[in-house]
Amino acid sequence: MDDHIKKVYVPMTETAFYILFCLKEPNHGYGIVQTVEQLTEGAMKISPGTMYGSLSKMEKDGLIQFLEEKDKRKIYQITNLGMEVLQTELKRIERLYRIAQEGM
Amino acid sequence: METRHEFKPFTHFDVEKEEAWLRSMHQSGWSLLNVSGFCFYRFEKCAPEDFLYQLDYSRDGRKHRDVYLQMFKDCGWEHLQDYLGYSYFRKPASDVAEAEGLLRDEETKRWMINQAFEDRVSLLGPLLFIIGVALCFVAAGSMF
Repeated sequence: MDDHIKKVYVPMTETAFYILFCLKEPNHGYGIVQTVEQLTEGAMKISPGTMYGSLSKMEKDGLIQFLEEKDKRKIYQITNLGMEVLQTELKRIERLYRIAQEGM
Repeated sequence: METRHEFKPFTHFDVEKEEAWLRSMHQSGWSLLNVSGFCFYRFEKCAPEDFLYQLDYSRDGRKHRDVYLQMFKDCGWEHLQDYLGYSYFRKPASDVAEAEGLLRDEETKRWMINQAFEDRVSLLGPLLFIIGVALCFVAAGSMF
């Protein structure tokens, strides 16, 4: 993981986290919007502008890869680098949570 | 069909102001027909309704037009038109998160504005160069 990736994605936005998390399985942008809405019980609805922008940026940074296009929808999946970034982020959040819990 | 025109300049940094203005126009019974020329907005008389307007700027979206517009369509947004690289969308304000103005996160906004700015500058650069060269010729011409 190079410095650019670290700087941009650690820590990452909640949106970026959910997108990477959902792309452990192949999916398209709108599919991710729906999954995140279900997972968060409607609390989070990613707008198409944010989704489209995030996907194209993450593809450029090599965190996800384009698999195929179906019915004008691009299907992506997480890459090894994306997985590594997701794990790093998860560890950071775990540490944050643990410290907060101990101090409460 | 009753229409009305408004001249209202926004800079490319003001997307949220422009979105809010278009929404308030629709709430008072004027829906956007098109924007053209130099900040020239044309509205059509309609029933006052709460519609959200969204402006989006995406270089990649211009390259993959079908996929880009399909994603907005899937999410319930109607594509109105493109103007100076920005795509204009609207949808009824039934969704709370969107109605509260959470159309994009800060990260996306920064990225979007950067792209718009870079594209403007890259257009402006050659133009300034041409004007510069033309001025040199004029200056050289007036010397003789």
